[in-house]
Order: sequence, then structure tokens, then C-alpha cells
Amino acid sequence: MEQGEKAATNNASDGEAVRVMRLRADAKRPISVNLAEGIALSHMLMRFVGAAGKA
Amino acid sequence: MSGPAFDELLRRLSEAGVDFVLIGGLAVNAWGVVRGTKDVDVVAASNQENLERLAAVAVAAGGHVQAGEAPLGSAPSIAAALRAGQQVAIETELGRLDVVQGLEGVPSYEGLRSRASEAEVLGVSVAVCSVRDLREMKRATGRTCDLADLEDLDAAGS
Repeated sequence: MEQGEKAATNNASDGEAVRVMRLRADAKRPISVNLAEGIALSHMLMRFVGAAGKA
Repeated sequence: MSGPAFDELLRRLSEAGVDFVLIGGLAVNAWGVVRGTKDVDVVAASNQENLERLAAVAVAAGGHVQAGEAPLGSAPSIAAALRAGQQVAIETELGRLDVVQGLEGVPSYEGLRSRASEAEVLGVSVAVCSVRDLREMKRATGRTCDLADLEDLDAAGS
């Protein structure tokens, strides 16, 4: 494997490890907190998509 | 539409005394997998009074159900659609509300409610389906996005 490919693989596995760590941390929070964050994220994404559609 | 307001929609349903349990993407959020979703999915108690309360909230939020080319926008017609349909999508000014009842793989309201947890949204309590029920519904549906949610719930240890 070339050095560049190795670095890319390492970055991907590091990214996945961080993602899983974050998921585990979020799962420990109260469901009200997670729900509020999910709703806020959904609103933001829908506004973004709406704005992109109008652009 | 001024923009989605899922929290306000949930608050109005709860304050109107609608019996429902949150499922779908927002339930996935609640159990620790925070991702975007396009609608509010609920299983509602199927008695007529409850469906009429739900329909009244939807109409007050400018809701309508698309039935062929004609939108149903009155409370009686939306309540009738809810009584007839296993999955009814109500477009409101606060966002889309998907009401699911009696679909294969989706437990009854009573079963879901008995195992649900309470979340607070804008000062009101909202029932969120248990993570076990959520997993079983995702497994039964089996779409790619549902399987991805299952993987993330596993990774989260939920």
C-alpha cells in the first residue's frame, strides 16, 4: 500500500473511531437533550435545503 | 410555510391531549443518534376522539392531507383519513406529520406507550418509543436508512 493510501485509511479509521465515541457520549445524555438537538439539526437542514432550492 | 417547527408541533399535540408516541427519526435522535429528519412520525391511539383531537391540531397548523388531486383540509376529513389509513402524511405549516397505525412491524399504540420514555419538549412531556421497539421497527422496515440507524444505535450502545 502506498504511503498516501495508508494515511487515507488511517484518517478514515480515526474518523470512524471519533464518530463512535461521539455516538456513545450522546447516547448517555438525557433523551430530552438529544431530541432537542435532533429537532434543531433537522430545522437547520430543512432551511438550508429550502434556501438551496430557491437559489 | 415560515419554516419547520417540530417542537412546536409536538407541544401543540401534547397540549391538545392527543395520545401519541414518537417513533421514526426523532426517536432515533432521542436515543442518541442525532441526525436530520424531514418529518415527525407518531403512532396515535386509534380511538375516534383522539384522531379528532389530532386532526384539529393539524388543521389549526394549516394542515392538509393530499388525497389524489384534492387536498383534505378540514378536521372531519383529516380525521376520516386517519381512521382509514395505515400511514397518513399531514403537511402542516410546522412541518410534515406522519401518523402511522396498524402498519406491519409497527406495534400498537398501547404496546408502544406502555414501554415508552418521557422527553420534555418546550415544557411538555412527549412519549418516545423504547429503544427496543425502535430497533424492531427499523429491522422490520429494513430500508437502507433504517439499517444505517440500527448500526448507529448499535455503535452508540443504545
